[in-house]
Amino acid sequence: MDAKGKRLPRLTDWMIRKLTDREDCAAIIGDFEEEFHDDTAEHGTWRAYLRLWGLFFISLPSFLKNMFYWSGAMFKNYLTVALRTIKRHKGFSLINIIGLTVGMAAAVLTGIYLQHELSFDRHHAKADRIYRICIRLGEKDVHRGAFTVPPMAAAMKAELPEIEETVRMSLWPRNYLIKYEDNSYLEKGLIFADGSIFDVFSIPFLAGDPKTALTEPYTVVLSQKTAKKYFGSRDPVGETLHFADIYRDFKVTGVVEDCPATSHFHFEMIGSLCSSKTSRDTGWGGHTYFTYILLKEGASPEVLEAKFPDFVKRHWGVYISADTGISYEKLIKEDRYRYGYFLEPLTAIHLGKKAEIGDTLSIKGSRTSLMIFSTIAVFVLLIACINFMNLSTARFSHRSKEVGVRKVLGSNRKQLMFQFMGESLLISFLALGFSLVLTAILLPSFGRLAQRQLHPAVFLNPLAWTLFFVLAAVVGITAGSYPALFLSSFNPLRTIRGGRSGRTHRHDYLRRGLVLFQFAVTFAILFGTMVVASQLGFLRQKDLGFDKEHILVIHRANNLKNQKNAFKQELLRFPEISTIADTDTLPGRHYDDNGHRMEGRPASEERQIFTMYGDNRLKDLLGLSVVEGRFFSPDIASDKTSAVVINQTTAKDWGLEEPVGKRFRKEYGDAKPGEFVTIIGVVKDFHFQSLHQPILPMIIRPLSMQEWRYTSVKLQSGNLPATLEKIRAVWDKLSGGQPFTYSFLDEDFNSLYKQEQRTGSLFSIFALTAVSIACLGLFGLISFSTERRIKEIGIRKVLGAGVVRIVYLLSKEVVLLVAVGAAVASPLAYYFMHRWLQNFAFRISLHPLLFVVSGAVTLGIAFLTISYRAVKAGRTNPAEALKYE
Amino acid sequence: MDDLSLIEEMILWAVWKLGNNAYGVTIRRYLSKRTNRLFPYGTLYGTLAKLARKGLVVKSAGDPSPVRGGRSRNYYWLTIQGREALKTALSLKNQIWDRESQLNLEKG
Repeated sequence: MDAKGKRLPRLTDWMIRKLTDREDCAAIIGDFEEEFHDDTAEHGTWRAYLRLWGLFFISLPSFLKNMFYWSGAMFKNYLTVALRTIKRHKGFSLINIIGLTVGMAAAVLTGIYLQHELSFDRHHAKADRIYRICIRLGEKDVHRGAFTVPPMAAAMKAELPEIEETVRMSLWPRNYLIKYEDNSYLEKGLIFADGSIFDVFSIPFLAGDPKTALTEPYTVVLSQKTAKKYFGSRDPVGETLHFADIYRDFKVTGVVEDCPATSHFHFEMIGSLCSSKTSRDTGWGGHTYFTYILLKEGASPEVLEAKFPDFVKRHWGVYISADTGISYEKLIKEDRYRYGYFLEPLTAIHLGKKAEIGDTLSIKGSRTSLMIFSTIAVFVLLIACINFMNLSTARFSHRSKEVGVRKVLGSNRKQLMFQFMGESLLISFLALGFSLVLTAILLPSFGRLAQRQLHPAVFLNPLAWTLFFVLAAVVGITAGSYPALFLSSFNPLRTIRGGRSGRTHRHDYLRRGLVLFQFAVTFAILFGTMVVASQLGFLRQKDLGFDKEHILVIHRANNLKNQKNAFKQELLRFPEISTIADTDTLPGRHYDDNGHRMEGRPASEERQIFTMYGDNRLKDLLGLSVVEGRFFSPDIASDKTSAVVINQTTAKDWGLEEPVGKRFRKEYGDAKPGEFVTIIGVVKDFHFQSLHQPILPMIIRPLSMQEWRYTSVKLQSGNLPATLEKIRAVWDKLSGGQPFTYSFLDEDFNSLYKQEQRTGSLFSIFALTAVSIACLGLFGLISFSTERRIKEIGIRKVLGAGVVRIVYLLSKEVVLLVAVGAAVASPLAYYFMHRWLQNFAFRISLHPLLFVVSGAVTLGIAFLTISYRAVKAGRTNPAEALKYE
Repeated sequence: MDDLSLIEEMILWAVWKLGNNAYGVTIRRYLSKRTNRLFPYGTLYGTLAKLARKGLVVKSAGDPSPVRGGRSRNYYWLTIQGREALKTALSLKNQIWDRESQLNLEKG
């Protein structure tokens, strides 16, 4: 053993140095090393190591205790100072806390919404293996959908080994009248599905057997809520419900848990699909069902998709070439015969864009608006952070003396940074607390606005709390970083002497930049709000080419059966009613589209046309104008079977110079080959679909009994409720206990823009939030700079400056910043809103006036905020400001 | 003046006993031997710092020593107040701890 002694292992050395305070550190390491040296000499190296570690570990608790004792003492001091600062500058603190609270609440709400939207359909245990089969057919984008033919599912399961299970569902929205004993309800949430639905999706059973629940025809499974509605506390399994519209009794075979809000299809009842004759169809013509498949574990969806073209050729190819008499190979050369399947992952359905047609029942989410609102929420939060940064740095002269004293007394820069960071963290955590309370209060109304059932359950989720914590920490650190860096860098001598620190210029630039950014964002959000509002106004006011006012739509009118004519006769006796028409659909509702072939043109030239069935009064009801030929006439017998009316777009689409008299092959109803329908007239184009879409080809066919669903009544303006009551009375007399359901055509049509109206409301709320936070910050900033320049203002007033001059002096810089901010944000705002408007086939143009108006509003709000303070400053007595000089 | 805690009392005692040779290693070994268990450095230095703040001990750095990797020892001495405090503590104990109760306690 050499005299120099055995050195302490490096790890122990390092750990002791970190754990003990600087004063005794060397002595303690020395002590350890001396003991280690002696132990090595006495017991040998191994025992020495053992004893060293033993000694170290039993010392650890008190080392730690001492360490925390000291940092705890400093922490207490920081906390005291921070609380004192908050208390002394009530105004600034209030602005900071309110701003951050609102900003965070916006972020948390958006976060909850985002989480909700992204969690769609993930509650199914096999969600990652479930896909929906979608088809693309015909001309590219128009015909992309999720509907498939009835025999496809079984064929796929039999021929494609990747597929473990398939399930077909009928999800068309339709109301069913269901009776049990004396109670009857109109059920909206009825879907039909194959029994395999319970193998594919996770729908937990409360009663009944999932294996056999839906295998028999005329069986139905209820959700817990529905079961309670019909049967109270009794056991529903084995009971029967009467489906009045189809004259059938359905046996209840099970009760399942209520469908979660995050499911893209919603049900209250699931009926067995085999109850319907269509489910046993073998033809490949009628696309009626949604088909979901469950992949085998480990199977690749790409491999499966690659097998689809062959599959299509085997089945659809055979069908179509038999139907047209042309070989499949020849047909697929033409674009509109390109028919194929692709897979859409279950979890992508809600926010996906792949299949737009046929999604009528699912609650659609929108990726774009989700993105827009997340971005806006982040920006609102950023504005609040900027307020915080700006106000803290602006207050530096108040704090610079404190910094000087602390530095002189031995604080180093790191400690100061910790202190300021700590203060900003304290404020941000306070704000977090308030914002969570605010969120909890606002959540229900926000949920109503977003049309989602948002659960306050997030407040029980530890992950959510972690995120809240991270949010507050990030906000605190972001907002505190600049003040911390800036304030801690002061030269103590200068600050105590009262001089300016000499670095104000740089920080003024930053502050200006931040204000500019804030108002750029505010401008952009305001601009967005205006664009959405004007587009909504445009949608409301646009001439649709038909009358939608005062039209009462009576639903389920076919349930009147043989009383139908009596009903119409009685209504027509009312002087308030001028026209009654029967149709299968109405503007704004769903239209079937069917392939049409024209006489004298090749079979391959088939085009899809949207179809509406209506009687001869339809023209009067909607106020359609006939540009060529005539509309259906009750006096001509052939009009009831073999006449059709087309719109102008159809004529254009087919390139018909003289459409009247041309004939389409009749391919519907009980048509025999070689039967034709004749075009008897052309109506002026009208918007039978929402303004998202251009006017597409459309054909009106004479209504026969089986398609009829709505009876629409044109009312004279006047006492609407009284007329409605009279109509209801007639219905009750003739319908035999059927419920009277109705709506108004204009409301139905406007409800097509629900999504946009929601976007509009959310936009205005965010705009309001952003504007108020930004103004709050501006107010604080201007208060501060006024205070700092109080003497300058006093001198200027003594020398003869008026109030206007003072206001000009104080506001010119900010006004300039706001103007530049608006100018900078314009291109971006233009880009995004331009993209949003692409959703509409009919839209407003982004008029320069919109920019001017939103710019003027931003500027006006900023100016008002400033002038409140500036006018006050301009009117103070200069003697007040100067009396201490 | 506050009463001393047992640990403080023990350390004051050790510092007094060790006289001119009271530094970390010796104090710790002395206490370990007397109490029959491993006495940790953490407690030792924490308490010494507290005693120094109370003005009961003073410390000074000794010469650097090669077995300590060239680091010096911190030697501790009792101040007059320290001696007084130790004396008070011991006499306090003696007042309570009379012969009779000791015998009774041992008898159980």
